[in-house]
Amino acid sequence: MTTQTVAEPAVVDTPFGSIAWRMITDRRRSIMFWSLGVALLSLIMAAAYPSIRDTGDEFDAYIESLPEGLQETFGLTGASIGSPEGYLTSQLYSNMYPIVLLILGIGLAAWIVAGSESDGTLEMALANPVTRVRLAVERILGMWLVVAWVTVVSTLMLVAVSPVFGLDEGLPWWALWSAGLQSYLFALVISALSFAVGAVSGSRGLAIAVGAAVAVLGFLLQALSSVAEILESARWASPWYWLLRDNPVVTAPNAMNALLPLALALVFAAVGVAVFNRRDLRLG
Amino acid sequence: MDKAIEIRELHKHFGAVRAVDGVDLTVAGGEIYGLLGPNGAGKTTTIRVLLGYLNARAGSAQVLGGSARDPGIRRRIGYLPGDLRIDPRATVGGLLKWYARLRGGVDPDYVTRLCQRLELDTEREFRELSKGNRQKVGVVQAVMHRPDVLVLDEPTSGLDPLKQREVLQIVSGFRDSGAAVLFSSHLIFEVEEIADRVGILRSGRLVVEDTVAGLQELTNQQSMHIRFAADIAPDAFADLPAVTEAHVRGNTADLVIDADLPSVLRRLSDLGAVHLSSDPLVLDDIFYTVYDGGREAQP
Repeated sequence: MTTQTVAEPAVVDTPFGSIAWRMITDRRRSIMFWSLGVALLSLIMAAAYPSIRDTGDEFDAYIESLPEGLQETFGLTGASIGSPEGYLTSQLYSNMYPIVLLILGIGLAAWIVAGSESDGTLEMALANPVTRVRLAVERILGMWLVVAWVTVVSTLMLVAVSPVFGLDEGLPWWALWSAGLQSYLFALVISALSFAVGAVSGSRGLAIAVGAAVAVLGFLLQALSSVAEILESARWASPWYWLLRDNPVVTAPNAMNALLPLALALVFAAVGVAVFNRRDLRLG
Repeated sequence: MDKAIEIRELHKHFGAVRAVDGVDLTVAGGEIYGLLGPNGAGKTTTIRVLLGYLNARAGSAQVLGGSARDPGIRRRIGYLPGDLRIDPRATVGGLLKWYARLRGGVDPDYVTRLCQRLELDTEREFRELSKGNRQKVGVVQAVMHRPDVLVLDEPTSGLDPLKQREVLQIVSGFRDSGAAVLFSSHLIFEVEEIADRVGILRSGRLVVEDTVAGLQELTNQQSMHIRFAADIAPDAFADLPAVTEAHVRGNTADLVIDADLPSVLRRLSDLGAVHLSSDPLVLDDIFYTVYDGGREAQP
């Protein structure tokens, strides 16, 4: 046989970040819809505040009639629902807003490895001179940037319209950014867990199921631990406990509510990437 | 490099299934190696271990002296998967530009010429394409960076005969310029057309490896389907030694002929044949010919 004579092509490394950017631009349409959706949610929540404020006493009386555990679960303790702090905590940051970010984050996380493995596109993605580690890391980065963008858009809208509806009264200037950041970090942890499950198992369904189960069961644990004493000692296992332990609207980010979830998310991501780098791919 | 692809005593099991069972295979630069086998023979698994999608249980599989997962080596490999899946929303042009960017050093004019040669519309979204056009995208992306090693899993699948020929010419061109080509297929005739050496996989084992000329000696048999003007006797070919297998149903017959074609044609004429078609033998026929002593040995 002859010896090959083709000259080796010059090695040209694609800049780091290209894959993350590609992931984002591939989703520009859905990101636009998500942005519009969360901006609208922020606007509606802010616009609804004056009517709650005006009937705050009646709401407070009703809330006081609820079991203490339920009040805690829905962020109804500490401040009147008629106040900006109480309204934002109970109606947005203790449930709806983190859930919206979770839906987005888990969906993207399950796609990074497991989703693209199931739909067969991973084989072609890795047919290029890109290591598995780089592919996964850049896609994680892309996911977190997308969730960050949606967080920023929704927070910006809230910051912009809250003075119009009196939702900024008595709140520090950083309140909405703090709550947004802590909700984002909360979504970061769960989405990293979903990614890790997908990267280890290759199953998109399992990745979504585990992420959703941790979020839902954690929410239930947080709710029931206030009612059932037997669960009280286990409430620390709920990610919601860590999100809501210090009211994110009035507590600035600190080591416990910011660095801990960040570290946890990085650990989940690292485990997922490490296993993905070594295992057989499920390519059908 | 004399051995651009080197697979040594490769084993890959999925549970109790031995998908690849001790395969040894080398492909040199300037050579097309046709890897033949029916579905499930282990062709795709062998390729996926070679390219690092799967881990070997034992043995080794190297490309250009190293692991295909090394980006420096990967850049010099062109790969077309057997089942091409790409983001369906992207346009063909967008996809090819993206792959060119990832691989580096791609000449856009060369990509344009390839697309024109295969009549590929780069403006359309991948999801709008027929299977054949999707396959063309796969072929273009596999060769666009002028790789030193081409690994093609069923590259002509879904293509019309004209484009099949075009693709085989492109692949031959790479061989002629010094590239090593591992070409997997279950179609003997296309492997015969371009391969220098052929390996046949069966149940994960490389059961025969030969030059195409050597393989052709094993494929003297022909398969024929004949229609007659009227019903013929079921044993109409029993006395012809050249007919190794005959299935007669009314006025049609399926024959496998080993040699002495003139005697068979005379008999067909005597019986009033009105239509005859001949197909290339499928791979199974060769397996049975070589390893089970002919088709009669089929269970």
